[in-house]
Amino acid sequence: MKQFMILVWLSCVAMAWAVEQTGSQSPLASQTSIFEFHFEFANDEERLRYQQLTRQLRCPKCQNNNVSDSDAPIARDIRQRVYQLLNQGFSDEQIVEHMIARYGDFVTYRPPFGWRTAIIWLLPMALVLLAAWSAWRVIKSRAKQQVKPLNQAEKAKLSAWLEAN
Amino acid sequence: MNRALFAIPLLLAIAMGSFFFYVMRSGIDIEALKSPLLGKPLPSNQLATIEFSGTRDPSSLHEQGPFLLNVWGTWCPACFDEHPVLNRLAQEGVRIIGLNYQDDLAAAQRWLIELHNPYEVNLIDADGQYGFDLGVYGAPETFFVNADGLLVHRQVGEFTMEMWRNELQSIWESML
Repeated sequence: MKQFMILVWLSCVAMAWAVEQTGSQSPLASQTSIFEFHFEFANDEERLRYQQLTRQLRCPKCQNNNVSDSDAPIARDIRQRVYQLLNQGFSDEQIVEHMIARYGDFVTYRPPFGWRTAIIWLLPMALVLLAAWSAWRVIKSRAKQQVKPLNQAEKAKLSAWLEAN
Repeated sequence: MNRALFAIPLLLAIAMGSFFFYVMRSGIDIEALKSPLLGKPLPSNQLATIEFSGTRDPSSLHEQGPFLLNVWGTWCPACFDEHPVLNRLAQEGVRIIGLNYQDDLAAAQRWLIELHNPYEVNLIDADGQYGFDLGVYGAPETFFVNADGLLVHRQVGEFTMEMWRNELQSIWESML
């Protein structure tokens, strides 16, 4: 029973962790894209913003790639539009909104919180709470199982048995 | 502790399993994204036509009635497969507007002569900027626009006559 509850608890934590991971960014997000050499940036800050945006945006065609890593034509088009908007002085939020207006919430790895996206934001938290609750149950049930001292009759039975063996 | 708790993981697994099984068997295209433009008008822009008949604005084409906006290109094999279906629909009186997407003009003109032209008019989107504003991510795509100029449905990828009969035709007829 104890082992079982611990297992439930561990799998909840693992699931919450996995959901959190996939919800935030792609596993390849730390890599530098090889497709951005043809863009020229006014300064390093702008280049950094471009790199962050293209990693945060998700390719609608080759799903589960970000547009920085993907060589799909649509990913190339999104990179180009990001570059154009950056040059036109759009803020990061405005650029992401521009993409969401065209490709939907799917296009970002950090979807805004809303009734359609509530599950991916709330599920990890709910799982962590569930895990905490089940851990608390385990601890409580362990506390209850403390060994009671033997009474007179039991002690006599035990020493009789020990002598016999 | 309540023994009924043992059933929770099992029930969860069964529920998830049947959900995944349902999605796999139902033929729902889980990669097809819902267009954020649903219920909204098409973006406004003046586009030249393949037929050299001046420019048109897709957001005002509904004034002549509901239509399908079909995004295609000669580089797109699925568009070739879909073309006979479009010919058939045009014959049946469905109003189809073409958006020639990221294509070569001469190749597009040759395609329409060789394969027959089901389109009322073809708009040119050579650099793909209009398609981008439509949220196109893979040709062919077909946008169902009603008489009020609002997007009712977006079909991503090739559709067959069977898909038209089973599902798309009723959407079209509900727009008439």
